[in-house]
Amino acid sequence: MVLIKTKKEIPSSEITPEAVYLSRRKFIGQSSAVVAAGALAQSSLALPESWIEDQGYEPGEDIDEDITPEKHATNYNNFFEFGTDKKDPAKHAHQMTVDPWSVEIKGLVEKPGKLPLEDVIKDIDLEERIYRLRCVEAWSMVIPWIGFPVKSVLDKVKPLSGAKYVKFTTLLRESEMPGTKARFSSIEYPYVEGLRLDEANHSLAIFAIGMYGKVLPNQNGAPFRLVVPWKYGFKSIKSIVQIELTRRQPKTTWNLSAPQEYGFYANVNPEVDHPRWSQATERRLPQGIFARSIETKMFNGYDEVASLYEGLNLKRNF
Amino acid sequence: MARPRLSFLATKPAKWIVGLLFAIPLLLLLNDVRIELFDPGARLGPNPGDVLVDRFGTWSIRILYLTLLVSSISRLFKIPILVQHRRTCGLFAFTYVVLHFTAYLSAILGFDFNTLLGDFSKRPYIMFGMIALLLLIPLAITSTRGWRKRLKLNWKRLHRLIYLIAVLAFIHLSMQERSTYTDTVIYGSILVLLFVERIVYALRQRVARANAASAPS
Repeated sequence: MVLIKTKKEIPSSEITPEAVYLSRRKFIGQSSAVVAAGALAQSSLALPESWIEDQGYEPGEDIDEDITPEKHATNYNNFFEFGTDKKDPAKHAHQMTVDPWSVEIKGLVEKPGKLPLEDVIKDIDLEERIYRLRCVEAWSMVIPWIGFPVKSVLDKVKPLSGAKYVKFTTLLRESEMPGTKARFSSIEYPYVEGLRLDEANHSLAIFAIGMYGKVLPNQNGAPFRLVVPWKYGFKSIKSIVQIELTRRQPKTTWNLSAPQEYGFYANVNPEVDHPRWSQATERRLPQGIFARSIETKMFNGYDEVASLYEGLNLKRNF
Repeated sequence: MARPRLSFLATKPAKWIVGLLFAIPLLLLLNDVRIELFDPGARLGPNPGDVLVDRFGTWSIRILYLTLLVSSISRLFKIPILVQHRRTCGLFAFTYVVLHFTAYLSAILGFDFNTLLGDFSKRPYIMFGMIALLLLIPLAITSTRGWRKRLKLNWKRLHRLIYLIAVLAFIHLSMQERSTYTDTVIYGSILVLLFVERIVYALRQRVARANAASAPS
């Protein structure tokens, strides 16, 4: 499948443009969603090869800008619950039990409750989205996710009129997460992230259950994570166990730990430096030692989200 | 008590061995770089620039503090011969700091000197680190026996800058800690102990001198 971005300032078809993915064939119909749920039940396994072929998934075809090799996307991770070294998540995340997995939906919703993940994704079509992932640490990757819009879940649980924000919480299970027992820690667990409700409802915001045509590896946030491609990576919270609709802006982990460094919005913005480094450029991984960095784009190149922030001072609300 | 074996420390082979030990991390890293040039990602992962800067930085502060530790140990355990290796130690600390800076300048900044100046003026942790590097230069230059003789008492005064450098390096490191304070605690404790030992030593010297002066002749 050819994915072509028509706007010329966006250099490649690495991104799935909204217009195209909305019209393109869905990868899984209702019956195949059961396949996905079945695969999740044994989530250490890949989705069946035949499934990928049936859906016509041909990774990397006609893509100008390279998809990050899978081995890097799965071995260079920030998931501090498993340690702060980039290799720690790949080393330790296998300890995390991801089956069974349930997600508690609470707060200002019509249908609160604790649901098995299978039920959360029931009747939802899966799609592949190839997104840039820009880390706040000034590196980036291009990753083919498998997932579905956040909106499709929110529509099912029906937020009440007073709901303004969505708060997401990561699993906290100390016995399976060596990083949470670290001494001298300055961040608190469980990890919490949040979005404004209209951000969460934007069609680019997805929940992912897979990547590279397979079920998510644990270090990448199995079995169920958020992907918000126009924000720094730390907003795309992993291994979600709770979704709460709130009236007030939730207190998010990095923002609490260092408010001058990590804002609530955390939109990718080349004009707002991190206090310790410039955000004007990024290293597209893997990057050779002497390779040049590339320029970072506003909203990570996803201009279609700009209307969400009209009238908002993005320098102050970084 | 006789310590016949310690006299080995003063020999040429001992100096070579010490030098080689300090060179090991450097040689291993250079080998990683060599492999990376042919097979990117093979040794240092997908973000080799960050890894290089980080590893050279870590070795810099380790060897810098070790340099200060050499004097402490030589006093505490009465092994004055050890001090003969302090210069090698200090020069290696300087070498690793220069490599740390070079990796940052090349792999992170791509030799973009405007960003370098921007970083220096806008980011205190970079400023502290660069001042530490600049202050190390006169110490490295005057580390030879010739300079030591030429500067006489001033040599000692000049080389006290190492304490300022050690503190700057600590601040530089500590300001970059994010989710844990582990390094701050470890290097902070070492730094405090190094200072405590020197203060205690200086006080004892003063008491000893006072006693000597007041002793009946």
